[in-house]
Amino acid sequence: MYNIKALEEEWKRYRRKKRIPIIVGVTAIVLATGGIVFFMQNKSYILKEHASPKPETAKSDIDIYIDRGIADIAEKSNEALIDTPIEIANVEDNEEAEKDTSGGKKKLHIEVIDVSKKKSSFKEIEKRFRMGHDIDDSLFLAKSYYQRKNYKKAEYWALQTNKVNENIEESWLIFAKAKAKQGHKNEAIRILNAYIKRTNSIEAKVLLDKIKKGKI
Amino acid sequence: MKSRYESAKEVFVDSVDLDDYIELESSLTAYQQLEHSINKPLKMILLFGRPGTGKSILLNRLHDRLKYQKEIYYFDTPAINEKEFFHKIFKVLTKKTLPQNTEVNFSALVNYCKNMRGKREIIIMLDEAQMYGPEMMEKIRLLSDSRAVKFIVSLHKTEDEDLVAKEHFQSRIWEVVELHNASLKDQTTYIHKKLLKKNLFEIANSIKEKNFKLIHKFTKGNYRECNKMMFTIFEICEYYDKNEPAKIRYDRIPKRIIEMAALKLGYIHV
Repeated sequence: MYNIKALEEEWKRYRRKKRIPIIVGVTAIVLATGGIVFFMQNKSYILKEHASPKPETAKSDIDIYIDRGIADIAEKSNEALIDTPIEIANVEDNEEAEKDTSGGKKKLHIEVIDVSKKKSSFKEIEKRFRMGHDIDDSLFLAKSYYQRKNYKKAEYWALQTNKVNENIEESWLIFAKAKAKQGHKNEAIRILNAYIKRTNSIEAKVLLDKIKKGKI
Repeated sequence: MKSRYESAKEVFVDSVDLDDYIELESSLTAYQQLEHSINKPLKMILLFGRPGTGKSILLNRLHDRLKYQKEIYYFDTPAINEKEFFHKIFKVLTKKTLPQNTEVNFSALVNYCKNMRGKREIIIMLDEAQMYGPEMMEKIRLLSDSRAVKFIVSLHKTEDEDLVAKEHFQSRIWEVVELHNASLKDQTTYIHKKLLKKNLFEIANSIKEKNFKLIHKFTKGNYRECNKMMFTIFEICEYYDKNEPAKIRYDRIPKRIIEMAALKLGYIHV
């Protein structure tokens, strides 16, 4: 009979030795993968920072205008009995959303916008909105397009903001102003009336007055 | 109390015992090839293969099967010298014992063989023939030239012995039968059949496919190594069964035990 205890010890040593290459291999793979991921992240960050601005293509305009949101608002704005062009979400969600927007946190995109208002920046923000649905992004786009007198896009982005959170007053006002600017005065009045009925907003009343008097 | 592994261990004691012969696909092919060669008008047949590929047991089996049909003789161990070898040959040919203090006259023996041609056909199987020297091999060839005596020469296949085989048999051998190590399938069948022959069903079933693969990897399909390996595995199992039963499962052989046996036999090293 063999010395089993000694054989057991020998086997334990053998097993430990056998595992070393596996452990080394796995560690190497993990480190290599980590390194690649880190490198790729850095690379994409650098590329983002240094990317040359590309002119906005006509295709992107088309993309925007075939969005379902426009079709919705067109349908809804034609219905006389409907007070708002947007569905009303439940109160809890609204409150949360309000909290979110009134949170006062300065978002990263604001820095991007402040630095440059080139079309490429807008494209970046549009892309980001589609990924994150951040109303700061959409509202910024609505305001910016309105300032640049691109009323169709201003209307679109006001609507997108409203879809995410219908209690953002600014989105209602921009939406109404953009409608009015495009010659849809009655529609703008109807939208503002619906909003005033719900919120009794003074700003909305002032804007309504301006539109009625043809100042906008 | 006798451990269940004790009987299993005994199954794999390395021996050339015909009762333990296991019929395998590959060995059956070699057997048929050898039997077919014997019936051909050949002078010498070379049975070739690495140690532990089953040459001896194959010769034994052939002898056992043909002993009542043919004049067949099996020299399992090589003669220590030429004198002893020719004493044995003399006895086979003349069926008489050589008187004491006498020596065989080789020329007379060759003539005796020549005279036997057409009357008798004698088959002599020489196992471990690599131990015969070149001179003796030459004399064996001369005897076979008489066509009354046919030799089946079993040789180990190693690098040196390859040379021996080449030198002495290249132009004289008419047929070569080569044995190889067992395939995984053959080795699995071999182990299974050996255990089942002794009614050790449970133990046979406790060796799983993974175990067979590992055993085959370590032994490279060599029957002798396989016997050694199985013997050692069951000896370790026997120890645990008797002393530390918590360390063993009866429904399967742990990989640990196979590796321990491999360490013991030097197939692997720390």
